[in-house]
Amino acid sequence: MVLWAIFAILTAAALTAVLWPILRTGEKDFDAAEYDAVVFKDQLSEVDAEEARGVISSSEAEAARTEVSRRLLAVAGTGDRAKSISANRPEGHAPALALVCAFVCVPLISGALYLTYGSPNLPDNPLAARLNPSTDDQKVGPLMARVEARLRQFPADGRGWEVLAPVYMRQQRFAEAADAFSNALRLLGETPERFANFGIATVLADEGVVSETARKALQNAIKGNPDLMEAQFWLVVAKEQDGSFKEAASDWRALLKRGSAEAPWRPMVEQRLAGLEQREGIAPAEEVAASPAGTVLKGPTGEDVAAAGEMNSTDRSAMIKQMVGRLAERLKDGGGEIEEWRRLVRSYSVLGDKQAARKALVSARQTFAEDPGALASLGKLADQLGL
Amino acid sequence: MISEIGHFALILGLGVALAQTILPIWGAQCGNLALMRIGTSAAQAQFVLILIAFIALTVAYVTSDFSLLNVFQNSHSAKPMLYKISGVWGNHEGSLLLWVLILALFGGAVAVFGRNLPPDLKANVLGVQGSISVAFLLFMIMTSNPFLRLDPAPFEGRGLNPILQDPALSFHPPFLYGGYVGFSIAFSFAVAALITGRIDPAWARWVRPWTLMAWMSLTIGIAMGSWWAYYELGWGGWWFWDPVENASFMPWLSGTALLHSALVMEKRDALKIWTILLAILTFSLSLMGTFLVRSGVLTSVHAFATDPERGLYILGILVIFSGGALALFASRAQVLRQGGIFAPMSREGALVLNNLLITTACAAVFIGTLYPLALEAVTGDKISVGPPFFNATFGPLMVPLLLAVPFGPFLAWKRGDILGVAQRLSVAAVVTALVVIAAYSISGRGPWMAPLGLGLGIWVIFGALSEIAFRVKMFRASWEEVFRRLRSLPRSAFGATFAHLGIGVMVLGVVGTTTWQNEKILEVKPGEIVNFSGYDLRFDGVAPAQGPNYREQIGMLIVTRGGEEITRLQPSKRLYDAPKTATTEAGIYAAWAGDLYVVLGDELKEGAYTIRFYFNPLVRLIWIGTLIMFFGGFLSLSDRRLRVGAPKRARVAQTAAAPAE
Repeated sequence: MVLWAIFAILTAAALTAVLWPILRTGEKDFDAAEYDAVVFKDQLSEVDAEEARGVISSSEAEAARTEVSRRLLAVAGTGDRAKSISANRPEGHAPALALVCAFVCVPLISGALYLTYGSPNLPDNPLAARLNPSTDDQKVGPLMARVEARLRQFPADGRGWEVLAPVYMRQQRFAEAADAFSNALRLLGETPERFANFGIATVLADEGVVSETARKALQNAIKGNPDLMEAQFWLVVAKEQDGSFKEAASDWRALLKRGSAEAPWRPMVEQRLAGLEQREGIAPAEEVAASPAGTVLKGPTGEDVAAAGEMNSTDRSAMIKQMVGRLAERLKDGGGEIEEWRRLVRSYSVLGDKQAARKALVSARQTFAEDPGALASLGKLADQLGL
Repeated sequence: MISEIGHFALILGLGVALAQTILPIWGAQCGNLALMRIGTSAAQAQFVLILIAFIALTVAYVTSDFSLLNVFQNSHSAKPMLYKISGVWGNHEGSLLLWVLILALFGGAVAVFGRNLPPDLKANVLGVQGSISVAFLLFMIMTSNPFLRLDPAPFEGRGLNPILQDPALSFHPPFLYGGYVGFSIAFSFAVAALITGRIDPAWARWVRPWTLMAWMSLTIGIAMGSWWAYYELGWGGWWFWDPVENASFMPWLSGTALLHSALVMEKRDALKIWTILLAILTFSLSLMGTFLVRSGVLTSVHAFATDPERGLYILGILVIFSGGALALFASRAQVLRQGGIFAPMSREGALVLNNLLITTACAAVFIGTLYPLALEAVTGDKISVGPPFFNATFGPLMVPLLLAVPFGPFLAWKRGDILGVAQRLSVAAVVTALVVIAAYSISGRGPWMAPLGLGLGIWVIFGALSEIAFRVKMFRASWEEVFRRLRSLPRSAFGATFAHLGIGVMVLGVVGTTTWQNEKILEVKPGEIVNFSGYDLRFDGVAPAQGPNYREQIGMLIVTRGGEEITRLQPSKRLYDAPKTATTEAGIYAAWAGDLYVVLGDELKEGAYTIRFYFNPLVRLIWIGTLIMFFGGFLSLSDRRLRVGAPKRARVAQTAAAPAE
């Protein structure tokens, strides 16, 4: 209500100020020739002043005076302009009409536009207000902001990084989490848990691809503590990615044997193993690549995969090539999502066709030339695949 | 609530601008003084309203109110305060708000200071000015509204592009817009003259100072941009003939021409119609610059808005205002009374030559900038028109212009004596010749054009100084007399001298740095000493450091000459937190002879880095020159007196006089 009152006052004040010349009674006539004459008279006095100061010689001054005087006379001769203006004035009506129009139209137009674009019910929400939140779900942000601010000031505070990192993980800010875990690792000393956390965050930040950095960290982790199951899990995924499918399958089996029957990760590993066994040595890069953030992409259909299982290896690779070809065709025409492009690049790379992978990478970069985030993720992918 | 008040004030500003457009022009048509006066009050009210909106947005930036979409997208709570404020105009929407604020400021200034303008002229001027406001306010509210809200507010913002987080660039846009928008006043006066069908004597008296103010602002704005590009982009260059740079350079060129023709008009009542055309063209070029930068036609740091819809809208504004004004010009120009007459060889004639050369140069830049864009739009072919084109077209046009600059101020109004002027310039000519000969003997090798280019700069400098020397009778009268004359000279005379002197100084810098630049890219290990352009630079390795919102790797180089330490250079690479972006900061040592300019490159094995070394001779003179030009403009602007050009009387009664236009 206060807001609307302010709007009303603002509008009334503005309109009064604008229309003041109509409301006020003043002189109604003017003579434009007089304004012209003033300029010429000023010029004449300026010429006199310059002559007096010796800037121009008296003969120059005389010439200038002659010119200006001639113009002054010319103006005086055509000085009927004001009269002609007064003559064609429609008496009285114009100002009243303008007054009514302005008082009706301006608030109407402003009000309509504001109701279209404005958000009258939304209060201001500056940083200071957000730091003192009223509801629970708003509390994590400010806390994080405080810790982040502190860490900017004291970047060597390892405890701070360790507190912050899991929060980043929960918010799926994996790159920042990886950064925070690596700081904790560096500042607080190396423990298997920290290695594992860092490795996992790095893998998730890379959308499921186990990079060399991640692999080293994960290996360090299980060297110190072989019971870190999640680290184990990603190391096996790494083997799958390398194409060592037999080893991966046996590792999966070993994991299942070691874990208890109720282990929460058991169904996931079983599923993984089943998929691997079914495909036997085919590089299913797509599944690993699927973004952990939950982006659902149109991968190979179940029928495709089932069909692949029944074929011999030559047919199978032909079919995969065909699938990749279909994807490439689609992307060539319709642009496509960044994830699809990444998958195409990765698929070519897995098929061993580095040249095609590079080509796809170049087209992808052109497609996303305007999107720095996409470019960065493409760059990262290229690094991982060694393109 | 503050931001909503700002939003409403902006919209109300549009309503007031509508009233400002319609009522005063209506009043001028039917001769109603009260309606005409509404222009004055509306222009002031409009300024106050837009100021409220601008303050509201600034408050939102300062307090990091991310419930505003615009603030969320372009700010971050950890940014230093300076960049929180400059962030207001560091993006498309906010910079448009600054645009209309300056527009309203200029309109308000005409309203307040224009008491001695004939009421009908003033009404038309403010009406046209109001219509420009309407176009941009409508554009802003409908397609680029900075007050759109987010609910719930995100906790942290996305941050300002780190490349824009720089002191020089913080104030680059306000000055640039001061220039662009300042030319709108000349435009409004021109269109008003076309509407009323006459050019009042008060017209020229008004247009020149406003144009001068816009020109000064644009000069500083462009210089800041180039200075920023020089130290931030890390390539040692100061001007790239980039379309975005050209977009600001074209209005500057035609604005410079306008300045000179407005001078003729004020002093001599001549060149009236040409001045009006030039005023229209100058503002049209400003609008075109706005279009190029904001339509998404170009990709660059400046291209904030890459939205075709917005581009189309600005194109519409450009077509309506430029096309409308030019059509009005075509239909009404013959109604206007021609101005005074003068001989071809006169001060007026020299200024016409100046205008011809500058507008031709501007046309060259125009073609070089727009031809590739037009070609791409029509055929889809991408061609690049780079520095070679501009050097081959713009350069040759500048040579006769610079050669002619010293002659202009010496020539008398109406009819001049070219031989007499040549005599008076003999000292400058001798000095120039000596410098050219000395430059040849010192440089020996290198481009043969360079000493001639230097000579050109010296010629302009000494030509400008000779004019003052002649006017105060230096060396021809007693010192007392010289000082007396020096004191009585109007400030505007010094203004012209300084502006021309600044051009000369700038030419020296341009020639020096483009022809004698030295560049080397080396792989340097810590402890290694590099000998470069007479300096010894020892690389002491790289250390990390933490800034307020970035981390950086600082390289340490100790510079010595002849065993004596001169300075330490610290080129660095920064990685900003939000958004995650890397920038380079060059290490620069400025000396009179030139700048030592070092850029840290990528890390190689064993702590070695690639480092780029540049030596840019005389490069400072470029910006010192622009500062001198600015100062000249300031002197001239501070001289509020009327300008009257005293004509030279014909010795023979029937000297042939050419018509002005």
